[in-house]
Amino acid sequence: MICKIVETPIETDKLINAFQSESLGATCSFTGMVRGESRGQKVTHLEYHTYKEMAEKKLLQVVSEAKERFKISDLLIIHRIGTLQIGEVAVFILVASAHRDAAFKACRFSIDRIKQIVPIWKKEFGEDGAVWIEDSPVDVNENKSP
Amino acid sequence: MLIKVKCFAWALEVTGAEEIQIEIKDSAKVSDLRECLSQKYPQFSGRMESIAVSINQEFAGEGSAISASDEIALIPPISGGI
Repeated sequence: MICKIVETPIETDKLINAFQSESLGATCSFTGMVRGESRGQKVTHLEYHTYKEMAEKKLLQVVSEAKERFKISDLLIIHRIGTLQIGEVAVFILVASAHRDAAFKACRFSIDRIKQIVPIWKKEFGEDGAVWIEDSPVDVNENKSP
Repeated sequence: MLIKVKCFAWALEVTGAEEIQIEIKDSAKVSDLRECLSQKYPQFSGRMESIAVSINQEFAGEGSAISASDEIALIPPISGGI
């Protein structure tokens, strides 16, 4: 199980290759890339900011929750911060399990949970200036560590 | 007591600093911190409710107690991933 916050490009091919093993059965991945358009406006680039110490702790929480809920054998989550250009990978999730169902579900769960509890923020830069994207106010009661 | 509060995203733009110091009553709770912040930074007005507060890297409810040695942070709505 690996979860990391990085400031350098995420090399998904290398990560997938390193993940291969005959005993896996199934792997499922999610790659989140910066879009060149948002809410009808052209986007030039994004800035991701984080509260790193807490974000790393919360990523670990995502991993342990996913392990508890689904029969998975491995899970990797990498989130990049800093300035990202269009098309660059911001987040990458890789799940291994014996069967496909758990792999799909754990992958979906992980990205959804990141958006709920991991303190990372994105600022979108476009032709009309910059704006902080606010996806979800944190629901304090539902997001404590178990 | 004097406490330190970390600020992120637009909360950082409001306070102008990654970490601020605030004088707050002893045995203060998260709700007291909100009140102090709203007085010191009127720009939080109307947006304070959307900010979560963390104590020692864990999200904290309104009634959670704050002590001077705690690591406290303001967490505006998050937007990780894509």
